[in-house]
Amino acid sequence: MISRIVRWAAQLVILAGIAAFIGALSVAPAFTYRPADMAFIRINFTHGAPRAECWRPTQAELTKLPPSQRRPNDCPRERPAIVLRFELDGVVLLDESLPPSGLSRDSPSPIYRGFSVAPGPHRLHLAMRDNPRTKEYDYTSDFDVMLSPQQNLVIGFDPRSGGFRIR
Amino acid sequence: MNLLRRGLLNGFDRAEALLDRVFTPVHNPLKQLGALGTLFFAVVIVTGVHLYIGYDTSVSGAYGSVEYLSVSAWFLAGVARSLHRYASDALVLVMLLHAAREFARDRYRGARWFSWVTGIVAMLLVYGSGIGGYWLVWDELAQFIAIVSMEWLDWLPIFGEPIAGIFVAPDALDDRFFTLLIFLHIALPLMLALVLWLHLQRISRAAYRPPWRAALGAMAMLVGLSVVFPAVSHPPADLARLPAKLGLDWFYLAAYPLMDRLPRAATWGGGVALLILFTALPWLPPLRRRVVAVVDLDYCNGCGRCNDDCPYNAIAMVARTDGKPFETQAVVNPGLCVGCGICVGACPPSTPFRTTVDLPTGIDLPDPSLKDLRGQTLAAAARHQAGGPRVLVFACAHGPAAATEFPASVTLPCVAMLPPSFIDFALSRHLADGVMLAGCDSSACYNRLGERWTDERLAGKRDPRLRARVDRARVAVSWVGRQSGDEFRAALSAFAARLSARAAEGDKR
Repeated sequence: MISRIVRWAAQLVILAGIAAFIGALSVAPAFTYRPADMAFIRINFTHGAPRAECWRPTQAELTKLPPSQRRPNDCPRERPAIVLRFELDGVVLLDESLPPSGLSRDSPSPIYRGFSVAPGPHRLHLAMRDNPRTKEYDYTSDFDVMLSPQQNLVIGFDPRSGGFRIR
Repeated sequence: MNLLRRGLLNGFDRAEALLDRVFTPVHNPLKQLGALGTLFFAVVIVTGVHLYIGYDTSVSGAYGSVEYLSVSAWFLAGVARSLHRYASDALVLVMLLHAAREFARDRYRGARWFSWVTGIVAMLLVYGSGIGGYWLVWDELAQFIAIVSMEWLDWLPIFGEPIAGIFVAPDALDDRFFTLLIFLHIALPLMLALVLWLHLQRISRAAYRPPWRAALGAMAMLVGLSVVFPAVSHPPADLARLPAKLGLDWFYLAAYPLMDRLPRAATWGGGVALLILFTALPWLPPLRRRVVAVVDLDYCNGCGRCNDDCPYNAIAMVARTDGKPFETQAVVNPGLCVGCGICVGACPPSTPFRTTVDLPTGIDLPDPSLKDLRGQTLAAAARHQAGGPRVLVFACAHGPAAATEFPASVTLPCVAMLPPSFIDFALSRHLADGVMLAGCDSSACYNRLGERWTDERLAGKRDPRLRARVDRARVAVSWVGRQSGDEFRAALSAFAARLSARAAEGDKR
């Protein structure tokens, strides 16, 4: 009888131990995804640079091509890369050429990049060039923002509404 | 590989021996991992259907509906939510232990590759279902999982634009996404049920349900945990803010911190490499020599006992092909046969009393064959040590070393390979005063059904039966694990003592 009671008690202890293990591991140890005392700036958009203009090959150039490829107008499918520059309080955090996506390099250039920053007032300067023939930036914007801890500020881009925007 | 397997095996042996004493071998949770997994999966399904009734599949309503179910309708749904989570966690726990145990016991190679590979697919579906379930709560944890998952997927050069962008701004997410999520959260478990069915296709008499006491204990544990420590949500997801501290469910989300912190190429490369490694394990060295049972139609009358007893569905009964006046004949599928020899023990012509030299039988193993078995029995009988009763031991190769190394012993791939007529043979031919069958661990037979068939044959409940003329007092059975050599020796000594006492009583008469 005693051994039966001892066995039941041992079963209870083991099952309680397994339950405690499952319960504990289902919430602990805690993981810190982003520091609670930092804010976050995310640049997230896609933008396709305009394709190069069609050009008309000369007769000599056409003659060099196989007959099946002799087209009067050659319109390139590929898009050029865009150049994006991001400054935070005068410090350059990003200055990159972003290639177009797609197997044929004919889709917009995507950007998805994040930066942890201290909360408080900041000045953001954004500039983008999508025309490879120019040296000047085609779009520039400046924003003065006040970031709170854990805030997730998203920088987007929409050429129809004037370029960069923050959300 | 062997070192890792041996280490794991020793760990499992010790833990199982301890839990045997507490729960009894039949109710030992480590010996019921697969069946407990089925039970936990069933709990997840039932509670999931219950929770779905009250779940709102919209971005704005999802969190609120889960909170309502958890807090306002605690008795009806809150416990169900906790059960849903903890049964899912318990499912992962038993699933990982089950895989580790089968690996440790070397039951994943040869014909068992199919169960191993389908098991890995089932694991992926369990993780997919569980992680998807955490999204549905749409709290900060869900937001974290969503962002990290999508950023991880974005590493693949197949998306035109970053899909993680959906989760970085409040206006980018719509209700249809939650409809897709709930669809996946229902579809993946359905696929899991199908894969589990496939997982069990290569074994007969699969244990879908744990013994009722083990099931009761497991359910009591889950309900107790759900009441004492109910599952709760994090604060609601807010895409304008990033979560800081999160209570991760490490059963499902252990990889997420790595996915977030390490370079994507490393986590993708590591993940894919691990998946390939685990999937390819059955074909990696050290390779094992395969032994496949062979049918001899001259001695097969199509009785079907081998087909009925085979634990791996490796024997089919098909229409007769040799013109003999029987309806069927046995056919072995080499891809399914693990060479346990249980079919040899079930075949009626498998008897050592016959006078033919080669001892052909309806179905036999090439090594050890029935002829080998008789030869080894005679040789073992000649090794009896002086003093005390002569005990002949038929030992399972997966049982304690004390049994296989006993001088007068014959080792078999499974004790159920031994036709009961061998016991009669040993006793009636005065090869031994007693016969002991030393199997492997009770309720954890290496070949699944060997213990059950042996017990039933000895009890006269299953063909081929041990003949009535055999004095049962001269036959003993021991079912102990590899680590329980002392228990085997104790059982052997007790049996020898009983035989000596009987002999002394006989002398007095």
